[in-house]
Amino acid sequence: MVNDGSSSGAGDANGSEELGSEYNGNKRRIDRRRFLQAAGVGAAATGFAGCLGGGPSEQSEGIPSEVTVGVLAPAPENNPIGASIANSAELAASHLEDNDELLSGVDSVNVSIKNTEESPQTGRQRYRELTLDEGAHMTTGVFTSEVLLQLMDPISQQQTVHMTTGAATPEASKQVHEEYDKYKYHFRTGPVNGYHLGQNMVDFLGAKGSDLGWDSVALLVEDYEWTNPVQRAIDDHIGDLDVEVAMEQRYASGTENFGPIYDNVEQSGADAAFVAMAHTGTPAIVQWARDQRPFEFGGIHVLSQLPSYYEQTGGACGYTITQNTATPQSELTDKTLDYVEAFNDANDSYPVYTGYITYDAVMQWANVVTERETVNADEVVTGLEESSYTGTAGSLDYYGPDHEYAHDIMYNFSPDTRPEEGVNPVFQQWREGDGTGSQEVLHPSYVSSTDYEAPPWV
Amino acid sequence: MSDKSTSRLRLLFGTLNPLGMPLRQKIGLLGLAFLIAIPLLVSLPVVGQFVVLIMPASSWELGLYNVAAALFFAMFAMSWDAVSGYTGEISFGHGLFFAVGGYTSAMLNMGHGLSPWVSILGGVLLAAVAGVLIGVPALRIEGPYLSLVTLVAPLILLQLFIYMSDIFGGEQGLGNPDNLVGLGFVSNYFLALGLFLAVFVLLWALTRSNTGAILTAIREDEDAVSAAGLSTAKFKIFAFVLSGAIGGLAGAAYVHTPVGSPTPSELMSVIINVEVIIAAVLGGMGTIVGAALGGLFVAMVPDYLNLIEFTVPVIGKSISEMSFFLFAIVTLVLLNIFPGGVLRWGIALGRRATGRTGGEEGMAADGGQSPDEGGTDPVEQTIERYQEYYDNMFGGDDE
Repeated sequence: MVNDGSSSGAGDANGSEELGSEYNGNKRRIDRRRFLQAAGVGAAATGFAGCLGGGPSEQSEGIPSEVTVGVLAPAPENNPIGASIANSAELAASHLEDNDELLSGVDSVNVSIKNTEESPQTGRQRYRELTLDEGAHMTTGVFTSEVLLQLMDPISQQQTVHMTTGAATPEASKQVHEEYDKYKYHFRTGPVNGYHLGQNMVDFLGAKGSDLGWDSVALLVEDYEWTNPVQRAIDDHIGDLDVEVAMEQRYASGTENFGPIYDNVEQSGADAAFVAMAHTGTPAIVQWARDQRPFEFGGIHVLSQLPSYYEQTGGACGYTITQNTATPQSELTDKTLDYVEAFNDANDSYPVYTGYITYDAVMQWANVVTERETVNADEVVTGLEESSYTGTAGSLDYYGPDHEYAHDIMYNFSPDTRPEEGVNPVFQQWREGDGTGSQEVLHPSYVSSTDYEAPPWV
Repeated sequence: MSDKSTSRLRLLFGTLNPLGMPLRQKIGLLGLAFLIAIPLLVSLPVVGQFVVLIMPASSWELGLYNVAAALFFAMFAMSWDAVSGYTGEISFGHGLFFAVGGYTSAMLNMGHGLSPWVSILGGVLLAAVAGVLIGVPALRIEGPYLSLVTLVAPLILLQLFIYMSDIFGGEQGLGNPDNLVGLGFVSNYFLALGLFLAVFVLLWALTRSNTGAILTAIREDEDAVSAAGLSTAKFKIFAFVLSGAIGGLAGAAYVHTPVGSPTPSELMSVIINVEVIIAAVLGGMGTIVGAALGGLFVAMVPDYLNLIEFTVPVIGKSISEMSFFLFAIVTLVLLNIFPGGVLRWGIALGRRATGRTGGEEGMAADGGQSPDEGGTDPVEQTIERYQEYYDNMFGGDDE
């Protein structure tokens, strides 16, 4: 279960805060928890309770006996994306505690979960609580790009490794590339960045277009910030394919009536709507299925990535295709299904893509810390740059500082063989069997579970 | 030195002498001294522990960030009070000025490489221009109609930001402009406090001057002010420009600190426009001091509530999860108990306690209208004005 963010446990190494270093060079510090304990003993003792040495930057050497992982998630109590982040971090922590090889000297791995409320201001506040108050040794999560961008400065200020597991904006990696020393503490473990999301759509269409029978497509992209790099990548690459773009529409954010848009798609004669949708996804898919529009449907449809989406839409998402990091049916690596089952056992549900990525982020960080024998952020940054770790979503390798997407997870499209480096997103189709829906994988072929099937009304 | 200037100096020193001040001003000065001394006090063993405990955060560094953010919000509340509290023209879209100041400054800094100090000035100027744009309609339309105009203005701006996302960054905002004084929590705290004090002194002095009296008179009876030969148009425009410039200053400086950034959700969300009204009305509309106190209260109480992990038994939710809900309930209750604002109530209570009878000529000594002697308070006057418009609109005069 998701905790309420109260579980923390900064160890002695960094559970306190540097006092007055900026103000007057005074290196004494106050540990509020110590004070509260001391207050019960007597007022005289309290005066000295906080006067202890050290500071957050002094977490540098070795691995403390208690490690704190800070997690930032949108509404972890009820948002499936936030809950997957939070629950996967907790699952990783419990696996680390049970593991004799990773973080072997560590007594406990504490997970502190904070709700960003998808607001930059709240996200920044919660990030500071994690790093300043709770002494997190690494932070992870963050779903929305606007929150992540406003965390870049606090991350550089706190100099604590942050591994993003949801937000896709390439702006973050651009900052790492342009001001490496300042922003090097940021890594994006997944998903692939916004530009690569769009490139992956085109790569998929190139590889599977003939199997799908999509000779012409109507490009439908919702007008939100996240689709800008996606759209740019599609525009850059789709011309290389032998596929006609019969129409292209960037429709208004908040669109609820897709009738006129679908009329245009029909008139264009496109075989399929090739989409990038998140916020507007449900009315789009329900109206497509309800009206039995004579074209097929696929691309990036974020809500279709939810394992419970078939039930939520009453089966309307049947036959649609979406890109995904992984599905409960896809054995991307030998760790994928073990993780999925462990998550299901712990939470009685299957994870969303942010869950796979968050689990991988915490485990990869623990691997590097174990190898380097320190939680020192600069050491861990170097370790992560050199790391090639097999996680649940594929091989986790990061672009170097000289790359335009510095510290982003490496994207590697490969239809038939597992890439040795980088991640290769899957494409799934919603299919019905025994009255329930399942996310069957079409691509890549080494994990595919079915061939594409067009909707019966097309 | 002439006798005249000597006596002026004596008067000034006499006014500034804390010992000669009324009790409420002494309390205010003590509060101010406390705000200035917080970073110093923390380094003292026993006192420091106390200070850390009352901070709206579980560590004093975070507490300083939170108080700094609250000080910016209090500046914003004071700028709202300068126009709406005094002229009675309720602005529902004050975030417009905050956003214009913040975005202009961020764009000048990030796009044109200007230093934050210069770009903030640009933000203030453009926010003042925005004040003119809102002020001019205020000459022709009044009351609820003007409120609607002010409500729509930031919504139009928001749509413009989203529509032209290649320039304004859409919902994602503009990223991180340069910080005025780096990322340090102490230096940023003093930056916020210094600006807060400057804005406070300026608005306090202005609203206690003849100009303030004229603005108050406009709220009470605009026709009477015109009849006295004063141009209400000039003073209304002045109030909007002043308020816009100060709101713009708060927004512009805010984005150049680690506590703020140029995003629509931070600078111009509907909730900010509502919170600023709550802050000023709760503290004491038409007093500046009340808006400052209300601003600090509204900004910091949710932070305090966020610290409470106690789980409410029946609901099964912790206090921290319901912080905004509880804050809204507390505010609603306070507004009902103290309709004239907490400040007026506090002053009246203090007077009763000290056995004194009150200020001069129906004015509360803080400059606002006394609820006891000056007739109705600004909130009631504003409500009366609105009632009048509605009556006119629906033929109330015929009844």
